[in-house]
Amino acid sequence: MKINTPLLNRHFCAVVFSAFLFAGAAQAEKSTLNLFIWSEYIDPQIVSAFEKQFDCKVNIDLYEDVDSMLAKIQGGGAGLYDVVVPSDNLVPVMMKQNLLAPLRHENIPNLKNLGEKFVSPAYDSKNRFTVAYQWGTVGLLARKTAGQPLPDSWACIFDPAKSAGSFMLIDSVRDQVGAALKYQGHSVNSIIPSELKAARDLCIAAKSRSVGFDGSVGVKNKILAKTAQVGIVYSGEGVRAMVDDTNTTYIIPKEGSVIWVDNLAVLAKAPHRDLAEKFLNFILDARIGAQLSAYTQFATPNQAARAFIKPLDLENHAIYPLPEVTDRLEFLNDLGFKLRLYDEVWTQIKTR
Amino acid sequence: MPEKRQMHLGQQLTRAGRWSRAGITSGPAALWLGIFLALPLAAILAISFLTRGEYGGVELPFTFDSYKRLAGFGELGFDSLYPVVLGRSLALGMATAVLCLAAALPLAFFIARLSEKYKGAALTLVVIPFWTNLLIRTYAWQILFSPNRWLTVAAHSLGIGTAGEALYPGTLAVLTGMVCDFLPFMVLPLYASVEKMDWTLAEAAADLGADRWRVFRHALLPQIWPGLGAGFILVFLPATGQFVIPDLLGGAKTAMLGNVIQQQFASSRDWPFGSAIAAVALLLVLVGLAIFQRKGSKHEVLP
Repeated sequence: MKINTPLLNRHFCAVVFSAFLFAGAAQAEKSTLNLFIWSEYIDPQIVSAFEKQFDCKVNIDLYEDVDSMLAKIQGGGAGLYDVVVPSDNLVPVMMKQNLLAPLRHENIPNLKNLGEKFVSPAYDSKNRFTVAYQWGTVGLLARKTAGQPLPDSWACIFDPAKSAGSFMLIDSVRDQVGAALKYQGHSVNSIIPSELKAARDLCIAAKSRSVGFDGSVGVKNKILAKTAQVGIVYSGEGVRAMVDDTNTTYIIPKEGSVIWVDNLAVLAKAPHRDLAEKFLNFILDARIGAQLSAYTQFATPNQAARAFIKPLDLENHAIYPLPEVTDRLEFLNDLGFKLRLYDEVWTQIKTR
Repeated sequence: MPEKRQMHLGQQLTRAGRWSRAGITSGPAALWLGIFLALPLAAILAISFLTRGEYGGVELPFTFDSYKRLAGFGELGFDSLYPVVLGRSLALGMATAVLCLAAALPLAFFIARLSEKYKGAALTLVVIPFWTNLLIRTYAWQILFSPNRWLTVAAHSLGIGTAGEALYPGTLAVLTGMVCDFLPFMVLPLYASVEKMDWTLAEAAADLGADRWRVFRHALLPQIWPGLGAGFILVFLPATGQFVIPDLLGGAKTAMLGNVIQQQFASSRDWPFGSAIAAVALLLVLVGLAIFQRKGSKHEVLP
């Protein structure tokens, strides 16, 4: 028996070792895509369709704001993900830090589906690093009250005489301060201290009259729960609220507001670059694009997808604003060192 | 050739032997603390003296800029807002700790005097809230504090708040959420002290004519001081850094230390400034603890 033991051991080792080999082989066979994206920002059915078509597994990690995404990527997470979804103003920041991989356009034939405005945008000329994913606006979600006109101006937040009932502010520095800047007729990218001080004072006064700050989804939920009458939200939440409760409506104030484009990008250290580009191409497909916007209730940058989008959505000015409204919308730029002004203004707003 | 040596416990060791023994016994812990505590702390300190890059990240040269900003010399002129935020966070931590203490002291005595049969159950009840996530518990308070809920209505009938309105956001809601979250951290160490208490000292004090307050002050308090101190620190420290509860129950209207630090690492992408705030907060807390410990050591009771 004694002689057999080492033999048995060797046998056992071989079995264990081959098991490891097989496990490794199985893993290599089924590739994975690691997606880092906003919560509730992709239709789970699109994900499973992609998994099925390319026989892969999609791991999804979620974030609630893009800045946290960037912080995680900068803080050593660069190799953890393949695809991220930066907003227009974050794209130059990520580009300058060499965090993004240039796109190989030959792998993304569906690029031709992009609408004219989204081809070679100002923040990424020739679409070297990004393709547009969804776009939207910042505006007011208001509850209709019988016998009272709906607010059409930021004044319902910033002017106590024109109040339209209790209101919520958005817990996002650039969007909230941007609204105050627009109300005063300034650019949302102002770096002039006097303009920012005035915007700060407006926000501090508004804060004391408000129900409080919350993220876009939180504001929407509080208006649906009737904790507040008016609030600042992104267009997607605005439109979703209108579906849930027909007594609410989404308005882009007449003074103008913020417009944004979220983009798909592949990280420079992406472990699965080929699959990532396949994913970008998949999302740019006309039918998938339509399905995506039907889910998010944001606007599609995909011109070809419009053919498959419900006419009711296309005609909804809360999703696709009229050209004369779009003219008053402004993109947020990255302000480099001057971002510190906004940081300080925001801390002051939150401290007073 | 080294000679073969036999070692016995208590034997006088050579210097090298002492070091190797110390390495085996406390080496792993020291290594752990070094890698996961000392090193990150040193990194935070180093980053706080660096410069923010134009697109975030950190760059040379070394500067005191972050500390100057923290003192109030900002982009828009002098403003003492950061000391205000710091003071507010410390006040919230202190208020939470004091309220927890007020609630936990009678509870700890009550549980300690229960019969063995019920003690376990009572302690389990104290710990049960931990079985649900902090966020869920906090959102639950939002619902309870909403207009027309029974708790809100009951509070209104007692003259708290305005009838028909929610009880949150507000200071009352924040303190309620904080105390409920941190209470177990105060109860458990206090209970451990009360449980071991030598009640004969109280009897002796009473026999010698001490009134109830003096019995507590001179015979009981010194005995529970270690538990009280541990509980106070366990509550005060995390409560000072807490920002989720003030955000959710305070309407995110007031910035806490945690908010401001988080803001630096997220939207403002200013790691040096965030590190500087964290470093100063840590320093203040350490100084506070040192003072606390000095005071604590005076409260010793003769065995």
